[in-house]
Amino acid sequence: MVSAANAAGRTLSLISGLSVRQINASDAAAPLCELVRNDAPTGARLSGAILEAAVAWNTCFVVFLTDDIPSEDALHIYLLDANFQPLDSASLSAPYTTGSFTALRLMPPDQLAFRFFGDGAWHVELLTHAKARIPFLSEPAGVKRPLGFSRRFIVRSD
Amino acid sequence: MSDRQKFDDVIRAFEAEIANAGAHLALDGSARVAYARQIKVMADELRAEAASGRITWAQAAGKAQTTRDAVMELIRSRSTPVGRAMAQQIKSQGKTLNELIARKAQQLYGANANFNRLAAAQQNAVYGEIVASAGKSNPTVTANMRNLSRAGRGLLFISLALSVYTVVNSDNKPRAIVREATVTGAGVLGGIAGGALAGLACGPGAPVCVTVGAFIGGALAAFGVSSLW
Repeated sequence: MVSAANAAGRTLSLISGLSVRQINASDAAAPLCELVRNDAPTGARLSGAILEAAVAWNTCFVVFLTDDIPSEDALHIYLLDANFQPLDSASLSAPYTTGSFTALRLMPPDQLAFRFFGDGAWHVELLTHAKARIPFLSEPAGVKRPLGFSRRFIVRSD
Repeated sequence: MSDRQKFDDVIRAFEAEIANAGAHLALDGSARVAYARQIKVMADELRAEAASGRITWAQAAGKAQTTRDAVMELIRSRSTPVGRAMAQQIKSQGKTLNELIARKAQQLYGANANFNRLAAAQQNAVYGEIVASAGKSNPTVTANMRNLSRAGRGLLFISLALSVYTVVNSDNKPRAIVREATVTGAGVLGGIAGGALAGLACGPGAPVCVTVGAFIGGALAAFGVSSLW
């Protein structure tokens, strides 16, 4: 486990013990899975088929999942509370474009960086409180979020 | 040109823009359906060839990678300039065949699986999974494109209905039919040409610029042709 804490006591750490169990295996539907912790279902149903990484942040969790579609993969990012209930989510996907989740870096107290598609790195800034956002305008190209006016993390690209 | 004529030209250009937007959405939606169908057929054929022994599973996996990329390029070339710009907006960072092999081996045989140490049948199963996954397109993207295609056909229907209304209320119906057809056609072709020109000016992967070019191209062509009448 890689762990890092700052002076404020906020921690970011890679965690093991989480896995996913695929719920639907049809090619016609977007993959859906259930998050499992130490072989016990958490009840969290998330988009994606493969758990790429899981990070503990204070009492929350950040999980990264991909669809396992090599030619047109999507990355789903979820911020979950201590009971694995989704607080916020975002997806990186684009038509006829694929990505590969690599180079995850933890940058305490509340930032993560990784590579997926595009030339540069992607950054996730975790927020302790929800901040306002404007649907369709507040996100960089390739980032999709559920319709709403607030977010608990910000996704940026280099 | 009288104010009434100017007003009519603007209205016809607006009708043509509806058809222009509808044609773009319908064409890109059709291209997407063709992409999803073709990569699935390609994967099924490769699987059948490998299963019958005409090629090895390793050859099938390698071919699946290259053929899928070729199909994607072909479909991009069949998309409208706007659709192509959207597809080129973000650079892909896909996995290499070796990376896919390592990943699939771990998925099938555990996190510590080493492909080179697997039995031949297990290696073939890994290759088979790679062939199968090459035939998959993202269902969320396909569903979104299908919805946009439906919206496009809806816009084309509205444009057609407006043209029919105009012809029905015209004193010279044959002339009105030709005028509606040429103005609408000019709007669609002007939109595609305008998008392509904007793509040349702005470079690949600039969907906002290309969309603006398609809009201006469609409006100018429709307005110009309408003025000739």
